[in-house]
Amino acid sequence: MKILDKPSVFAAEMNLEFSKTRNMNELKEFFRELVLRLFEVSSIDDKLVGHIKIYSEGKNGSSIRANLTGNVKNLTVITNGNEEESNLKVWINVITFMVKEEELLKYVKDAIMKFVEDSKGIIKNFGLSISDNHENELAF
Amino acid sequence: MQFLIVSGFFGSGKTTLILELAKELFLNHKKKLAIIVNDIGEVGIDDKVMKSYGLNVKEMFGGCICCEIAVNLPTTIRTLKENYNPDLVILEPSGVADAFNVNKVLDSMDGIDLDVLPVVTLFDATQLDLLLASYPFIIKQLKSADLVLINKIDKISDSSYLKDVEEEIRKINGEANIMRISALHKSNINKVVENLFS
Repeated sequence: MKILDKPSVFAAEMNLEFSKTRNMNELKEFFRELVLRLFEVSSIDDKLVGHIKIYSEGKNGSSIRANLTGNVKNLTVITNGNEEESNLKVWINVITFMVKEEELLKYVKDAIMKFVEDSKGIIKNFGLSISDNHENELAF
Repeated sequence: MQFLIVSGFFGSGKTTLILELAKELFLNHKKKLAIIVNDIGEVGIDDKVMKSYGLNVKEMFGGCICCEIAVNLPTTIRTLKENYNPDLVILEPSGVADAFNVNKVLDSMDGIDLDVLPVVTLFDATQLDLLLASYPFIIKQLKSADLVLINKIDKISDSSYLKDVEEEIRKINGEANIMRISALHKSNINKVVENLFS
């Protein structure tokens, strides 16, 4: 198994809208499936050295955290709250030592776009690497 | 002010452990906590997760390279001390940072009396292959640990496999304490707290 010396990083945030409100189980399944799609494009031979992290906050107050590292058996989706949502803010972070960064950026972005479209969602305000917006932010 | 470093490779469970430690320390030990998160991804996720649980979090972007930490970390700690004065600061470095370099920065800091607790390094029990392949980031992290937590034991049903993991870790760092935990299932978290604060 060929592993890169340095990690390739994909980091993005976006607004996600569904035409129909989704309950927590549906959202949980949506993010579970999205992580699996991202795993396909950031792993080699079903192995991911690195991680996939997604965090989502809905306008109605629920949040979902989905993580995967190593292999698909390690996928976890944790929910907080039980509100139905149609508008979500989503943060996605993929770090891998298996795929070069320029490929990762393209593959992951394409995979997100395709999956959201297939799921009848709309992405708004998609942004990559927004570190400057966060620097020196204190949150107490 | 106490200072705890929770290091570990990507996906080893640092954020989940810190959330559980924070609950235990706040509820049962009445500690006033602050957390410093150093994400490599430039879109902070760990900090948002922690904030959603009501924790005080200071993000520290700018990568995980140690020279950058050297500039940013002292300033971050001073800011926390001045604005919040916590009993305990927990640092979650990025998945490729090792605590040895963080400790060097802490040692060179003037003006703040820090009580640095034993360094905790998490190891994902399902990733023995990376250990056997002597993956450099993981080896460095394990070498700089005082307490190694073998995490995600709930995913391993074979106890001889866990013994193999433990043996491999002992070959790398024979002096560290080693414990088995599942941060996600809150297993042995109270023992970790006991080990760190007794």
